Amino acid sequence: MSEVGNIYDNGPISLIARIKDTISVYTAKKWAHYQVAYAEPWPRSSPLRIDMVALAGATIIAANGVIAKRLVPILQASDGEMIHFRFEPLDDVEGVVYEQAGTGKFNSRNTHARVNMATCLRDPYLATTTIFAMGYQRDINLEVQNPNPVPLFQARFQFFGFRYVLDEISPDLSSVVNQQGQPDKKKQDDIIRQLAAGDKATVAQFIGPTTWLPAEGR
Amino acid sequence: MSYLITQGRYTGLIAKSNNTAGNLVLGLLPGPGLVITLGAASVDIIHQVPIGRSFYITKLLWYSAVASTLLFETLSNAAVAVPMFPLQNAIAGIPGGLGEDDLANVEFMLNSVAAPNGWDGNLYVTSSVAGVVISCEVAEKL
Repeated sequence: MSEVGNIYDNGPISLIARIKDTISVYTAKKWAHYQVAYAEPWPRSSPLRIDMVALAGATIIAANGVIAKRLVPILQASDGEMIHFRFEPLDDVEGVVYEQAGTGKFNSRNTHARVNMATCLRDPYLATTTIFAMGYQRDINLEVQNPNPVPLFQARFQFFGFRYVLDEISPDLSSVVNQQGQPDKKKQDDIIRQLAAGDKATVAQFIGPTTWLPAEGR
Repeated sequence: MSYLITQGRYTGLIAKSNNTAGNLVLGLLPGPGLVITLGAASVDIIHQVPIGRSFYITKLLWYSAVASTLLFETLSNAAVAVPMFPLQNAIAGIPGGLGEDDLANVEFMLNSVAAPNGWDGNLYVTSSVAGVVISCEVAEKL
């Protein structure tokens, strides 16, 4: 197993950055740059398992029915935290992911892919279910579909992965001065805009080597 | 467990037990549990194929207090039961069954062609006497 993987590596889930490495995360419609202050695994275990039928306050998911998308509390992060996880249903249901309640995850122009019990059969490490969720109020919502012609009494989902604590990086712009040696505010503002836009050269110059990753549906 | 399922990682199959027990003729609502047959006039449902899937039977178990015959079927789109395996005997008081090595490898799947040529792909049973208890295990292909 690699110590640090690419963000959607198809092997076992592994850290996408070491502690003190820099990551650039697309969140809240812009790129933000952070240093990893701390990282820890989130082992596959019962606290990371949720029954969506119970969460919805229901007793069943109806035959061929739906549990409307809802917040998954165990996946909520605090400000300055990022979670990196994969998941699978333990019962014969399909998970439909929204990152921010209104933005579908794993979708394209005409379709919205789901994760089902067979996902792990052909993708044993569940790499295709990899999701990053960042900070407060940028939470995962999960909808559940029952493909069976009979009601089911549980719709359990298991999550696992890593949790990162991040420090926002303030770029050192002290070298950006005008000909009189004074801070060049216009150019500094422009650099800050370029960093937020994710301009690769600007990021390389003022942030340094980084790992790019999306934390929301895009 | 079935080799079909233990090799499911390669074949894309998951294990299921019979998901419904009810009677089409009498209009009983299907629900989970053991199937208890209602007799010669009845086509009793054992397993409904979920939309977009198909399945193989990997095991059938039955028990009857009195001698009976069993016909395992699917239903044509003209609502005619179509046997999928030869007639089986349920011997009085002795549990019986068939494993996947004994069963012909029939893949149950929906054929939506209009009647009389299509079929619904579900698994049904008709017994000669009422009260035969049946359990089945299937491997659903996703």
